Amino acid sequence: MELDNILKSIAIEEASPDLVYRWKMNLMARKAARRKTSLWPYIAFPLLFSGVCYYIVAFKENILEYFMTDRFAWVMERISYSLSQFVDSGNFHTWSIVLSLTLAVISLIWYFATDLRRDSAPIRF
Amino acid sequence: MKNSMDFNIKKLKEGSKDEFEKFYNCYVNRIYTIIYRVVYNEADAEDLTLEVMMKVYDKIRTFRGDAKLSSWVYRIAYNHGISFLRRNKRTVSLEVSDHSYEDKHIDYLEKKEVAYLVRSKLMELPEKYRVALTLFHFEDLTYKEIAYTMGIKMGTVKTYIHRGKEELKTLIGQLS
Repeated sequence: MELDNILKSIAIEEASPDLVYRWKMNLMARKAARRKTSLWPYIAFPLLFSGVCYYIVAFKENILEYFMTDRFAWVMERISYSLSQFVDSGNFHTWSIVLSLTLAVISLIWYFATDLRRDSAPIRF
Repeated sequence: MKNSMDFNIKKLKEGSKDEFEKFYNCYVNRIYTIIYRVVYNEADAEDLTLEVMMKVYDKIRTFRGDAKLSSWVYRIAYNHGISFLRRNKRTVSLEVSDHSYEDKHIDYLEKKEVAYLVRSKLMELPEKYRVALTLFHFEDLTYKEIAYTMGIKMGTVKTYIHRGKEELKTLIGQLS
């Protein structure tokens, strides 16, 4: 028998059939590990925060004008007075915007940094 | 973009599940064989085959088409096997060697037994000869592709194959 023919016949070994199952499981695990988390909370929450800041300002502006009739108004006045103390201290508008943007940037950095780490994660079997 | 083994590389790059299944079924035994011929351990070869499959799955987007897809995949498999050996600093043990075969005349052996004998003797060759001979007998590999896979010159491939055959002949007696 020709050596070349024998070598050709044994050139390809048979891998065990359960490799197919293991491969599919690994692929599923890899896909799950790579599934990206949603980006929207990283954008929505800073916007929501700036919205709350804006609401506080609006509340401060309007509450004294519309609710000064009874005890409730007195409680609200105290609250709004405290708020106004806080809001009027320094440039609240500017700081709320700066804080919101900072939060947004930190959130995005966090999002993309964890994304990169996911991509370079070692394959686990 | 079609490859000689009829894979749609564009679909592979897009992560098509069906195309990858086709790819897997076509290449799993070839990748396993290359790695097995390097590390000579079935369990390690299976684990490494899966790792190579994962590597291909992850890196297929970087495949530029300079070489054939098969050569690119074989090269990954070969390098993965070699780095596993280096990492483990292990020498290949010769478990399968069955010397009782040597005493019998080859003509009287059944085809399977001959194949077994050649396979066991093939594993006694140095790793570079083993892999070169294996790749040479894959259906579609040229000297150039083997050189690309092993990262050596074409002349060296020819030398490896020639010396490998000579050593194999010596090991199995007057087979040819």
